[in-house]
Amino acid sequence: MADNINNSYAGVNQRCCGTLILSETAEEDIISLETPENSHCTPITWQDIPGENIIKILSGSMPLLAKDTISYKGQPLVAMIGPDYETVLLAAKEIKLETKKTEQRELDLETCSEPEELTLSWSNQKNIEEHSEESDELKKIESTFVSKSKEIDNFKMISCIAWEKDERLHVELPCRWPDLVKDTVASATGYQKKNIFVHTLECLSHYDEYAIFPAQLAAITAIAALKMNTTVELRSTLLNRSPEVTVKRTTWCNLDSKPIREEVSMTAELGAFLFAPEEYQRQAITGLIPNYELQSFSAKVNITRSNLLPSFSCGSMGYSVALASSEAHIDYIADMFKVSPLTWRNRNLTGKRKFTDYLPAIELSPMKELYKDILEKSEYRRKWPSYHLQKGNMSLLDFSRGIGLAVGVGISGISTTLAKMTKYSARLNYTTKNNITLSVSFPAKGQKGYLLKEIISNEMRFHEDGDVILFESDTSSVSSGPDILSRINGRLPRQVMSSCRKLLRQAKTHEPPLSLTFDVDDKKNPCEFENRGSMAIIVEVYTDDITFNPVVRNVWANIVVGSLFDKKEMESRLKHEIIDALHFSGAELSKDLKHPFNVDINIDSSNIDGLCGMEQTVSGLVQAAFFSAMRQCCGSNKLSIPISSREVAESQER
Amino acid sequence: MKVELVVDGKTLSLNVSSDKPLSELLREDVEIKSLSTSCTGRLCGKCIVLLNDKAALSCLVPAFNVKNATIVTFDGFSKTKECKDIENAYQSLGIEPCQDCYASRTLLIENILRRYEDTDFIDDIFSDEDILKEIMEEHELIKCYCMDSTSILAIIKESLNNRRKRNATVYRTKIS
Repeated sequence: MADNINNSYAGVNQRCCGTLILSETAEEDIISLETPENSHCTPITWQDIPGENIIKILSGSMPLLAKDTISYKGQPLVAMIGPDYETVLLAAKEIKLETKKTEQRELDLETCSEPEELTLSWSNQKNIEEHSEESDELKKIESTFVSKSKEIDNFKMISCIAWEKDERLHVELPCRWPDLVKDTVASATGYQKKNIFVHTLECLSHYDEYAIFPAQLAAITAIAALKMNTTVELRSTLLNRSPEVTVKRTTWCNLDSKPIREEVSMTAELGAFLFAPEEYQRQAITGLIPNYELQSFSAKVNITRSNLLPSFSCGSMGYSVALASSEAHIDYIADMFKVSPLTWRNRNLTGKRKFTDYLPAIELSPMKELYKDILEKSEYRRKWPSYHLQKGNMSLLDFSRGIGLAVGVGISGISTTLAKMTKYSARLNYTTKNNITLSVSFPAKGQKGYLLKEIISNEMRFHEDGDVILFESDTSSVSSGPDILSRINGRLPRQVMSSCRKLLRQAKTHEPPLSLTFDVDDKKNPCEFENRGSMAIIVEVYTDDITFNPVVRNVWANIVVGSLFDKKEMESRLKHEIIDALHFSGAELSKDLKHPFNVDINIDSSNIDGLCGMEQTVSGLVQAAFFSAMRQCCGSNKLSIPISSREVAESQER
Repeated sequence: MKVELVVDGKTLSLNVSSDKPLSELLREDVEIKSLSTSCTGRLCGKCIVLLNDKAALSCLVPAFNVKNATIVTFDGFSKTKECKDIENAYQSLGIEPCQDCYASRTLLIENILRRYEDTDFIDDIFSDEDILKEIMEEHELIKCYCMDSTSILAIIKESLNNRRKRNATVYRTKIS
């Protein structure tokens, strides 16, 4: 059959169309996979891959196309290539797949081993002994924060086109990690990397969905293009998923409600294949460190596997959910001492948060300044007790409203340990025309590119528009890694600044052209992460009387970032991120025309060199404030993110 | 079947299956780039086009229904002055739809503008609860949560002002 098709299309300058067939089951062994004959379509299975049938991502890897076993639902099984999409889709329906349940799950330990538990602890030994003797005087508060796995179904379709011309292989697709696309295509096809050209298209990635899957699709498309000897366009639905996370936290407080000791345990399920799980652990443990002084603290993060879609980065790698759990826990402590979370914070946001390998020490009292303004604007002091009193025995019907507060600091980019392992770089060239070119391999169109150009212009004291040229997606000269976790807004600008200064120094003694290759991520940082910007947020919610959906009416946010180039743009971006995070948490936005949903954002700059990537912080704090507001609204301790109308309805039953 | 239609001002004659959705027809046969979703009728709302001057979800319209129809997609619309009215509103308000829903949201706003651009008093529109409800219901078609109702209404109001200013200038130029 394949020969016939090849004869029909080989050598004809025509584009073939294809679709990727994804598995609908998981943890099954493939007994047989029969593709339809005489359907004018050519199947591409793992047997057609001339090179390696794997995609390598940092420390992990997974098959491009399922070979003997289906590990997770949504795993690519086969690609069908044909003259048009209608024929291909019809042929895809005729694929016969016979499987049997895998009796015992065999793990490929070499590529997918679960990492050891990561722990962090400190203690003032003397104090602990004192307190253990006086343990009767300590109150124990326990909480569990659950963030359920959520498939990000935003109906996005990804299309990849591959063609070969003059012994060079071209792939065109939207992606956020062009080097990974190139590496994967090279290992799957056996082509040399210098002969592979990745043409990246613009894309918007709310949840990092363009990080890994495009590389997998590109490799399969390239194989199809080589087999069919023509241009092939392969389409698939874009998949991504957030991991299921459970955080159990126990705090011992003295009778003055001051926390003394805390133990935290976090378990994250990252799917069938693990990519950089150690990085997930580092990010998560950073978020688990609470914003109050403690004499003793211990935290552990465990990673587990499952039969679900691998979850590499979903807008966050553990920091935001850990941060949300830390902030949400304050509500439980405040509940125990029968004070408002604000009163508890005012009492305990003093002193310094301890310096750890993960984050530098920070003064806690300035955080009170962060929420001072929004307390006034939101009338938190009036609303919180009002909503709190009109519940349970105090009223006939539950007054289903709530208001929640969260405050914290952000991080952006990857950890110093991962940065040292990956060696991602960018390049600055000072040309003979006295202009600067910056080469990065990830897409930096739009605002990100504009900000990088602004930074270079400022540092080099350029005044003309054309003095700075940005070469993005330049995989031929540099490998800058993925555009995830706000790396492009986090550590890169600072690295660009210091490199510009070096280049200026060199220019004093040497004539251009000068070239400088530098690290994208900061490898000299003493801690794994840096504090990047801070934020306080208040969310006001109510539950819909009929549907029980949680509805957000107002959000007030006060944000301090590093350098601020375009306030309006930053406001717009943060507003999008807040709305995204609310939606992710299960919230609806108020459509009431008299009280429509409103976001009040105030942004200040701390005038520290460098920009801030606030995505993870915004996501974590919005989740925490929303969770806190919903706890007050429902009076339930059994909620989990994303909060569903069913959970709300169950909590309202008396 | 043979379908004759006008897409972004170009008259086309296509041979397609009669039940092929318009979204697929535009993507595959006309190579329209602004339609990038694959909801296949699950109402994601991101495949909106103007079909005979009315907003329509192109994934729900079969090919046999677009015979002799006039279709405006965002690929064509983005080059027009009408689109500039809306984009200027995005810029002046500092609010913009995300890249995912940009095309559909802009076409839907255009659909609303066309309905109200000849109204004498803009404030009347924005004080009429029924009209506002209708506008918001239309926007709920787009399953993207990047914008809230206040922002959408502000953009429509600003775009409407831009449109009327531009129309008035054109009118004055014609008279003079």
